[in-house]
Amino acid sequence: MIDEQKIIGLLQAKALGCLDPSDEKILSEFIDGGHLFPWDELGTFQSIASLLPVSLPLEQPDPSLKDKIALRLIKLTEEIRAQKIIEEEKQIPPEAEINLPQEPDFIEEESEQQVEEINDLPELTPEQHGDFEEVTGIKIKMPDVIEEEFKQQVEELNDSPESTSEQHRDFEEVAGIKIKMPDVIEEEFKQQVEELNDSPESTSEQHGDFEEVTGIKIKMPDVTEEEFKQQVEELNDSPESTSEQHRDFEEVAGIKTEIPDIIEEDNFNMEIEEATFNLDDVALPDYESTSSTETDFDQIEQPGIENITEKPFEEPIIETPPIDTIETFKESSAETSIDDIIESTVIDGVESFNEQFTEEQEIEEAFEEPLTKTQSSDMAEQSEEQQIESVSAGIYAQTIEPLLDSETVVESTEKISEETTEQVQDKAVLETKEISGSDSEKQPDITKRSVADKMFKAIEQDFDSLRYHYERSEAKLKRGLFVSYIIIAVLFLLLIFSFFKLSGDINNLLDEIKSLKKNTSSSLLNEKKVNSFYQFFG
Amino acid sequence: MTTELNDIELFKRILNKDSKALEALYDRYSPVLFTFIKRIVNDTAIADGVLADVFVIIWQKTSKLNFEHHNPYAVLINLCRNKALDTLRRAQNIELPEYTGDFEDEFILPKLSIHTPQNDLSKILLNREKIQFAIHSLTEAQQYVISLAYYDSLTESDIAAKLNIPLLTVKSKIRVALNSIKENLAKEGIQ
Repeated sequence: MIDEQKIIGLLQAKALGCLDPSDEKILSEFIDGGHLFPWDELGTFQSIASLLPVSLPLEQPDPSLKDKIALRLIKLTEEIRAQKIIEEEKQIPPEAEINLPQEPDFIEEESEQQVEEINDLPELTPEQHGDFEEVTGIKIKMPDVIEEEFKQQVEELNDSPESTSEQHRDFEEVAGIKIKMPDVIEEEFKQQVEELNDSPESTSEQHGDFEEVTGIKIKMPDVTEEEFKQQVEELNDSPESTSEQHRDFEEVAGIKTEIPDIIEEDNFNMEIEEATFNLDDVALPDYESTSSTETDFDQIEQPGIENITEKPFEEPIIETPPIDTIETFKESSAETSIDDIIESTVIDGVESFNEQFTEEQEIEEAFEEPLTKTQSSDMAEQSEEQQIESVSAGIYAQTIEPLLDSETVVESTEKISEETTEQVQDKAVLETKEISGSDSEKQPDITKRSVADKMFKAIEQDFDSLRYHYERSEAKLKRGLFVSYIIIAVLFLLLIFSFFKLSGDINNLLDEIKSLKKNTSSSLLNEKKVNSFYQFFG
Repeated sequence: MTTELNDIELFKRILNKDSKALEALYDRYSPVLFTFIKRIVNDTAIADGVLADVFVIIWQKTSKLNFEHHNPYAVLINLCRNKALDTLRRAQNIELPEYTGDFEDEFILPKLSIHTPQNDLSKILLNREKIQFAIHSLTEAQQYVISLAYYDSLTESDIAAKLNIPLLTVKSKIRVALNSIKENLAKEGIQ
């Protein structure tokens, strides 16, 4: 006999699902025994137990889980359907075998014959099919033969010249079958589009009309795009081709014609090929070709010469090495004197030049070793001979005029240079003679000043170089001293450290000896210690 | 439309293979059921799978759930608990019978008392704070024993062994705990 109180005591555990197997067995026996079971109490506790998850903080599942469940359910339903179909198929054959003998064979044959007769009819329509279905009660599946006939009719419609989308629609309405546009028709439409494009009056409006008439949205084929490009190229190739014409063309055609890069590149390549890389033959747009003459070229090049003549006279002399100074001076003086002669009067130029020449020559002489008497006498003889040749002829008036009017600049400049050099040399000879003579008081002041300046500059440079070397050596010396100071300081510190350490060690040893002396009772050890002490420090 | 229906009406529609009703049931119950399953399995992915399995079971075996005679909320909670514990045990390689339709009918589908008081999730969520108060009013020991029994599916003897306390103590604690919750809820007018 099972105690009811004990059973009631098990309900809580039963509701929570934590009942021991032994208690579970007792409960099942109690229920099976036909006793009055407290189902209400159990239901209440089960309800209370189910409320426990409410105390948990709620979390949302993954949003995609819903879709996954839906997909899973769809798959399950499909599987169930497939299973049902398979089961039905398994069940149907025996039923068909049973039913078929019940139906006489002639009925089937008659119905098949009727279907064939209807299909053979030329004016066969779906309505007739519907009537037939209503009359016979047999669902007719459209045979392949009829589909082929429909296809043939569609092709005939397409082949006919008046074939339009309206006819297609009518046909679709009559036949009740949605006709898929075959490829043949699409090709015809493309041809029509091409014809429209080829026609000179072809506009976007016509395209629109065509689309409205046919009811088919025409996608611009690639062929027409190429034609448009060709038209655009023609417009570009035409001499009067402008952006306005492009705009007009775009307005007429109703199509935005973007000038392709290929056309621009082609034009550019054509120009390059025709030019054959000759820059002179290249005709730039909006550029008036001007024939470059020699005079213009000289005009371009002349400012450079002027700039050279405007340069200070002394600068090249300072930079040139001392040995070649006379020669270079002569050359430079000749070149510069040409320009001066051309621009100004010859006499003033020569005089000023001679003054400068004498100054520079003296400077150079001052820097160089003094000439020997033989050299000076040779120079004097040469200068005298040149002076006789040049001065006697009265060259200046004759040479300057042809020089200004001369055809070739080079010849004139050479002549002038020769003449001027001769004059300069003559002047120099004369002045040297004069210097040695009466006017020797003024010239030395000038030469002395210039020499002094040069000397001063040279000394300054020497001082600068000396200062630089001195500073460098001083810096090196300072650096070396600094390093040596550091090394000395480190060594000194090491010395001090070693000294203190050594003294500390000595003190420690002494202390140890003293402590050993105090601790030791043996006289022998004391003696040994003492001896050792004296051995170390004796 | 389906969102306004109560749980029993939704189950009736699901019985008639109304997918919208199942969707409405999912929208309504998925947070509570997912939280509960996750508390048992301690894994989000497994919890997702268990929840999906539960809704497949609901779709396939609505007629076997006896929702008209039972509390739909209690049915769904117990169904989730059984399925989650079975999944967990199978994941732990505990020897169990093969999972078949019969096994599902026998061990996964909940067997509740016919006299379970009717309850709706909307009402439960309205009284959620009161239910929480009723549960949290228990002692920590009682709460722990109940959690071991309900979420970890330990038997009374397992709990006694785990906590190293007498079996009678465990039984008394469970008994007292549920009775006190019942009393507290009765005071609040929920049960």
